[in-house]
Amino acid sequence: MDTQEPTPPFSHDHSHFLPQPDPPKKVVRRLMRLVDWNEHDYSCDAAFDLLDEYTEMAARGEDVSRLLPLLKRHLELCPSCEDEYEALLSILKNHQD
Amino acid sequence: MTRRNNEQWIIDLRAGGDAQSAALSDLRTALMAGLPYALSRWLSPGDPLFEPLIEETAQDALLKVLDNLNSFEGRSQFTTWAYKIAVNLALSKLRRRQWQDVSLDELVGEDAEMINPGLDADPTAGPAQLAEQRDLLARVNRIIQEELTEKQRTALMARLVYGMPAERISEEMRMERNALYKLLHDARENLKRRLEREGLTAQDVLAAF
Repeated sequence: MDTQEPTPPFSHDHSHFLPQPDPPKKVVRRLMRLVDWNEHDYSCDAAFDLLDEYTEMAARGEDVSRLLPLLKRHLELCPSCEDEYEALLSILKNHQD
Repeated sequence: MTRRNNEQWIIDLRAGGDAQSAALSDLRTALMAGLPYALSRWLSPGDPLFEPLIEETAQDALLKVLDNLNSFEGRSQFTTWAYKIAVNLALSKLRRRQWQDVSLDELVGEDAEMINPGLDADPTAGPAQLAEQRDLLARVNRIIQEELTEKQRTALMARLVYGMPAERISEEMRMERNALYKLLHDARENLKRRLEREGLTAQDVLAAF
């Protein structure tokens, strides 16, 4: 088991801050989602509206690519929205109200 | 902390007086407890900015939640909706603060390939799939080099490889936001046409990954 702590991609020390590239699989999927973009695809605002519902479905292990496919497409394209999804998912998986 | 269903959260937060104060206090407690899980990927909990960011975000999120109660449609738990607002506020702050001193020049080297050919795209893939992925990545990198201008490549790499916010890219490239979107749109069209000429679609490539 890999016990090494993951390195946060950001540090508050600006003099040394340089973000790391995302993994190739993620980058190539983003690029192809961009190439494949069409007028039915969600904007960031539309994605944000559904993000809480989508993340609860994902946390319950439901098939989000079938239930909310356009949101999944958007998250594969947009790094900022994907970050917000992962952050929200992390709360739902680790914290009980 | 009082347990509330969605309806009770809305009633209490609209009530004013003690009921509203208690609901705000409970919601603040929930946000303060949840946010560390959301932010620890970006900022170490030992970082001196960590606690202040959480406190500031919880306060800002409470105000935003109150201002936007009418837009809550009950499609999720109320607290999930509130966490979503808090996460958006916190990551927006982090993005602004942490990208402000990063220049495009240091981020994107002149001859850098968009998709790192030295890394396997999917470490769990079998040998045949890995070979197919390597072949596709090499083709996609070649197409990017041949079809995109240097400006298009730089903007795409900053956005898709590093997640640099579009507003910072446009500042760094000294372009209006609309001009940046036009640049990315043209890059997309160039790539799409070339993939088609090579008998490939985005769906083909996506299916391999």
